[in-house]
Amino acid sequence: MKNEKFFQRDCFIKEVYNSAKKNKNIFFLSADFGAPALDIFREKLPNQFIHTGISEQNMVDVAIGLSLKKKIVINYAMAPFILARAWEQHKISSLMNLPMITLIPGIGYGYANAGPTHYSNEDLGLANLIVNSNIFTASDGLISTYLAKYLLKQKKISFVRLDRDQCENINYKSTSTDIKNGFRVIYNGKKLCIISHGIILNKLYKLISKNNYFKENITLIDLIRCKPISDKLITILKQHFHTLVFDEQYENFNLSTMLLKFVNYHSLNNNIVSNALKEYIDFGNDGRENILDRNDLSVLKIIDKINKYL
Amino acid sequence: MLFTLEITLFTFEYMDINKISKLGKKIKIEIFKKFIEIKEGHPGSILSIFDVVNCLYLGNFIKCTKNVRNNDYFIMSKGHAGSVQYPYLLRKSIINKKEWKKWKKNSKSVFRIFPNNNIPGIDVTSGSLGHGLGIAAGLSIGLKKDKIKKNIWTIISERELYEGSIWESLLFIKHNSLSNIKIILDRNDLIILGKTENCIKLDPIEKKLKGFDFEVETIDGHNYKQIFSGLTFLKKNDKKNKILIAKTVKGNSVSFMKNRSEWHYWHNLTRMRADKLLKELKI
Repeated sequence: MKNEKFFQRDCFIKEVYNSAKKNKNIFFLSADFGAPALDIFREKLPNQFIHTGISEQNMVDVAIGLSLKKKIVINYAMAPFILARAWEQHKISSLMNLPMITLIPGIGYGYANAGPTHYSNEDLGLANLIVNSNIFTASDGLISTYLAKYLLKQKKISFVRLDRDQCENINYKSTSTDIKNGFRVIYNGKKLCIISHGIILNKLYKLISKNNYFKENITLIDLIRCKPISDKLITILKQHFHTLVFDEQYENFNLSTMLLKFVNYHSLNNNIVSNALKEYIDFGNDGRENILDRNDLSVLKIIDKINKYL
Repeated sequence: MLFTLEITLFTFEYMDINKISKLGKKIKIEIFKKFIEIKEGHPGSILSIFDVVNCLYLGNFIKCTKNVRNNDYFIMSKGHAGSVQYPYLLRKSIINKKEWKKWKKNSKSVFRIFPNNNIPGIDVTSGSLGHGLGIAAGLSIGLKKDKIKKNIWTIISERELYEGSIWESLLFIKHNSLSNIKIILDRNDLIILGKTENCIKLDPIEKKLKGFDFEVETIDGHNYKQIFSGLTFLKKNDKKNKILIAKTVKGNSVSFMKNRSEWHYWHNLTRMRADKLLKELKI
């Protein structure tokens, strides 16, 4: 249905549920965090759902134990807590090279209304520091569904970053290759490359899709997997010099940091321009859009930034 | 070479307490000869829990055979003392004796001061505090789902009680009735900066643990009769959640290490001190 909006977490969990019905080794752990799709999972598959209490640290340790028993484990708690509070537990899991999927729902200013304790503007850096981690960010419900399908078959340490807000699916025929490659080229314009992920990519897509000049001149890349970045991206990066990167993480570590490393490693000649959050705590409590505006990431300010390079 | 290494081969089966205690001394000496050789180790932590671990293995409380797939799980949550397991794994031929001999400073042996699950027979990588119980809980649920009956012996230190995750896990274990987790709390009263009761009071610890609805018994962790009785209490398969508190002495059996928090870490020893250490371990 056109303009239908989806919750990324529900799309992911629905897919986990479909697989878990057939595979009794799939376990879903929640630190008291819900979702409509999870209600169905809990009701229909109570033996595969574990409520760990509002105890993220215990949750990940329990997941380690289950993983040692070769179970497929999905950890689920609110973005600001699941990694920051249980980072060491994830590290221990990585030391044992245990595959587990950690969902990070509510990244960026997804929980802006709850105040700064609930912002998740550092999770990308935290996930990046876990050795051998794979980091995925969903930009719409469809990608979220694909990610669930893909990751349940992979035996990897995976972080899946999801937005809190509903969003429309991007009108792009994604294939499993996109997930495998870790990126999709939504527009293939001539003058400027824009790389982003998550809901901010979704916004950029909407913006560009309404403007023919943008469509012709911008290459828009949805970097679904930012760690590791696929070498296949090199060919596309080589076609551009200016590369704008948009991310709802702090400027001291965000998607552009990872791309800079990639570009340097491959000796590419790209001008990576970071557009991320300023390093300050916003106590505005007036909603995500206003906070983003103060960070020069509102739609209008994004248009200004793009126009500078076109 | 400073010392010749001898791995004394004894069978675990049906040993009485005296024999277990005697063999334990030999094993203790083996461990410390190795520490002297590699100039590493956590002597204080090992000496505080050694007698309990010795009874656990030699008293056959823990199922430990060459075929590790059938074994009980063992989690040394206080990872500093993890290397105490190695001599027992060697005796069961889980690890090759050559590996033990190979274990030298900067050598390529599988052994490390802190246990990790690349070492045969070691179930969980440990070192940082507060993880063992949660991991045990996950293992326990996994075993339950697979309908496998095994115990998960988990040794935690009192220092770990300062980690909130331990209490999170206790709540979780009780709620899910995970009675195959056999928890041993090593209570040697010391942390790095002093006595636990002076730094942050833990007492009345028994009452606190009972408050979480666990059955709790306290023993002298160096008295073999009491250890046997405590481990029997813990092993009894009566579906109850239990904790055994072993009151121990950090650096036990060595006069210059006893109750000395600095011996949490290894220090260089003169030849004379090394001799004194080994002599005292024999007593």
